[in-house]
Amino acid sequence: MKYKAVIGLEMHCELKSDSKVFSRSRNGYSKLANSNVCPFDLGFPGTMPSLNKKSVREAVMMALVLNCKLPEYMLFDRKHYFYPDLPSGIQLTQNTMPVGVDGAIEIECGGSRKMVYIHDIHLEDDAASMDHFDDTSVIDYNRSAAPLLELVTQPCLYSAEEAVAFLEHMRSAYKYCGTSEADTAKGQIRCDVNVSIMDEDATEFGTRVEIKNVNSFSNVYDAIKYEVKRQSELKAAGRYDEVVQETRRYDDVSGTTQRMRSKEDAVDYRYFPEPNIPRYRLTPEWVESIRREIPRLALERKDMYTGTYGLSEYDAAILVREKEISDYFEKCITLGMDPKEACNWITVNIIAYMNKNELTIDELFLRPEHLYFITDNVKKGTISSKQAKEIFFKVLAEKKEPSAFISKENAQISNEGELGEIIDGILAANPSEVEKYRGGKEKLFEFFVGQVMRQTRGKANPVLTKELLHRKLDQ
Amino acid sequence: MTYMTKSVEELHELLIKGETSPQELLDEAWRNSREIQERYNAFVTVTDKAEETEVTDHVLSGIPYGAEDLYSTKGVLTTGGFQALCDYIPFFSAGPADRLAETGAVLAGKTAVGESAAVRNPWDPERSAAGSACAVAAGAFPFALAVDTGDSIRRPAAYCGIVGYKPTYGMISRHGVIAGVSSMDHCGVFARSTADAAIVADAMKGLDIDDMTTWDSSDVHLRAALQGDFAGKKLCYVKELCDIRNYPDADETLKAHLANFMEKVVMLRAHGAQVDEVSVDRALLEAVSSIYLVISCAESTSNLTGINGLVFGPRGEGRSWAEQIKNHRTRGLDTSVKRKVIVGAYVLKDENQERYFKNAQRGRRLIVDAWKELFRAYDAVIQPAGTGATDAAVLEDAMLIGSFGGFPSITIPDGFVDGLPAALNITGNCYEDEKILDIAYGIESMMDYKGQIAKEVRK
Amino acid sequence: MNKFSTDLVDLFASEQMFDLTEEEKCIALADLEAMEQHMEKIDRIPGIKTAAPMTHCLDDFMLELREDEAVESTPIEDLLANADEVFDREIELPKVVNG
Repeated sequence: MKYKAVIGLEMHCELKSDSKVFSRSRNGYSKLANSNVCPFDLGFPGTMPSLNKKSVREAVMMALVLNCKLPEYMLFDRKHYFYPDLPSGIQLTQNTMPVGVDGAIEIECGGSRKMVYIHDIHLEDDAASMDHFDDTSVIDYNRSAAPLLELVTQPCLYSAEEAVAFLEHMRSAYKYCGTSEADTAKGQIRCDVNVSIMDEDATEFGTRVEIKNVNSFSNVYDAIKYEVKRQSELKAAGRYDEVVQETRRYDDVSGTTQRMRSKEDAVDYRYFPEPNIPRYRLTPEWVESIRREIPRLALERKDMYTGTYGLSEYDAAILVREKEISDYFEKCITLGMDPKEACNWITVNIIAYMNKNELTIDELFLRPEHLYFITDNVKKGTISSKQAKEIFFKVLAEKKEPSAFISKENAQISNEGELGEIIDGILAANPSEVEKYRGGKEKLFEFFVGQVMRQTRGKANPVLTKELLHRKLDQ
Repeated sequence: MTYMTKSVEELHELLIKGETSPQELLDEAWRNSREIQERYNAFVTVTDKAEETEVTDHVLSGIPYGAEDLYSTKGVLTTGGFQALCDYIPFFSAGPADRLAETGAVLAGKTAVGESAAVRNPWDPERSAAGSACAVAAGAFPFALAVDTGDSIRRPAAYCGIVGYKPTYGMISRHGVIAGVSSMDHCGVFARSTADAAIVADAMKGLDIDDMTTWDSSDVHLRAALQGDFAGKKLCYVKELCDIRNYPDADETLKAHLANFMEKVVMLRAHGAQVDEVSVDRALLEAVSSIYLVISCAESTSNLTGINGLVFGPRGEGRSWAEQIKNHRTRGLDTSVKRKVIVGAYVLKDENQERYFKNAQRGRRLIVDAWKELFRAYDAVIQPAGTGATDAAVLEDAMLIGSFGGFPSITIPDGFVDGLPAALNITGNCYEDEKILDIAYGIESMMDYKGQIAKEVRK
Repeated sequence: MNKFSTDLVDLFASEQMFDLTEEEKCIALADLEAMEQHMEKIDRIPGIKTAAPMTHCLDDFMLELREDEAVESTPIEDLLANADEVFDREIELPKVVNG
């Protein structure tokens, strides 16, 4: 018996900013406990939130990326619960009026396109973090009040593959927009996964199980696979009533999910609007200015690279994996490089060099302008392809302008007149070989080429050399 | 020579002339405070050290003052009136306290929080008072800071015979002021004259990056606005509140208070003010205290969630974090607070919010709208304040409306009933603090109660 | 009509993390029972059904958000000065079991 899995995701992403969303202390990772904190972060009496404009801007940008409806103004709600990581017992979030609702975004999964529908996206703050010892725990408030953006999808994903494809798509979107480093290794993305199963032809959803705090995409994948299997087996065995609406946790050691709490234990959060943050009007002008700052995202760029530029899926995917690389590529095109040529330089030479030297593309001395200069000189015949490659690496290694490596000394002789004179001299000095060649000994052609190269110490443009030799010998 | 019964401006002149010194003033404030603590239990802490202050051009330099124990004071115990904070010593001061420190004013003591049965009224020790009101009325120092949530500055000011002023919401920062009802908490001041209240509010007000509800009042100059020019001012009072015929069971005290009020209406008219009687739907007035109850319990419950004893306050006993927090809260919150929290938890419960909390917020809006309607035609609404009459609940509750709307509101003494102070409240539209204080100043100048010090009345 | 019980009071007290004495429970129960009368008064206000809840004190407020500038961290001595149980730079408490 096969069932259809229905999956909804909640994706929390830490936003990038200098200060936190609701306090003025630094927003950033620090090894040293309680070194990025201010009184609000620890819930000292009388402290109040101070909303960061940048966080609002980033939240608006992501709501726009997800094609959400935006509210007239930003409104925050208090969410109440007691837990040691929540110093004031209040998390500020957007329950009443999220920054975005009813969105939709197209993603790519397994070579085909799919719309993912967004319930809402809302801005909230993070809690403190705890470390646990044998008998005690300690609290580090560095993360307290840091900005988190939570997006909630509709239950519109039907496989672990689709779920991960969506998460990858969003991670890329965050990075392209510069709103988050979106690094799962640093815990900057955390997911809750809702999973249910239903008969293929059913119209009603099955019982929904929530898996909380899954911290890597591979764990999301494994947790969904496991949970779908668990629920399917129970259903197939006629024990579907054992699937209950509950919260489970994923244990990546055993690869299983385990019950945390049932629906009955659900906390009443007693949400209500935070009176200390006045409504902040999102003016159409501001929203439009933010919209204009959204860069073209990976999927759109990939479509252009394969469509307009005729690159392969494979190459296009490599180019758009990081916005910086994609931007580099596009700059090369703007300068006038051939797309395929630029793609080759980047995917073959540049990325290999980056990997070998552990550099990002923006850290390279070689800018698109340099690459263009080098390839343009090949095109003009000033240098050979072989020389181009040598110069490319010299620029990278010695951090000097490419022009420094193209001198009179090593410049190709591509001038027809100059090269013609040299060839005339060589033909005049070797009359018997000329005669033998003309008599049918065509192998001697290479002899003449060698003579030209020797005399010019290899600087003669090989193509032009051959062309002139043919012209002069075959006439 | 006693100085602490004088006004801020009088003291400043004496300081400038060198006839007294900041230290001499502070010593007297401390001495008075300890005495008042002894007699009336008005203080949580009388400070015993202060940084040396210089007399500058600022009228508040070298002037001692008190602050309700809700104001965080760096290095000085700040309990907020909670057992749960019985040992909390902040490392930062509340925004308004910081601003006052910049002027050179000197903190002499922290006063008991809110209206409390434990604090005795210096006019009649049989009655209760608020710590800051008691201290100022009894002459500890010329002014004291307090928080007005419902009417907790303007009402105690009335029965302590002094001035109590609550500016427009957000004019003075609440940063570092222990939260009660966030949407209604107002920092304000007790003083013995409108001028002193204006001077202190001038010094404390202004934008604060740590309180997003503050607004730019740099073009507001309260003391300078006090001209006492009364001509053309349009006042009104609400018939349903102030007409004795609304209270068939009125006792003699209430009758006397209302009669006193009507005398003042006559006096104002005689000075050229227009004073009209207006009518407001009784249903609005009768719901005021219920609305306040629901909203104040809800927001208090929320604000008290942060009382857990982990970062500040004595750690609770227990083997788990939950046991420790529970023990801390059980011991640290008294019965009256727990009652509020239970009601708050009820009205905020997800399935109850619509019927309780949101309906109360709807009612709040309708009442505020009704008052804003009055302000379209009138500069201010006046009423008798703090009559203490149990048979005139709507009148007693009406000052809560000033907190609902964030309106600037000031109570000034306007006579005596049964030998105890009677008072007049003047409330105006948001951001019109200058106008309201000027009206109060004008009325104050027509009478002889400015600067009065409490004298125990034998009953 | 007995809408309320001490069980409800107990539930709220436990949610709000404190214990109540028997006497306090009786008072709290009476407080809850009085709520209906309060709501009746509020319900009598004309237009109560359609008004927008007043969530903030000032509605006409023009807000400027702060720019993204970080301040120095509060010194650790200050942060921990009021805490009774501290380990190194952090607040310490009995082991928090995941859940």
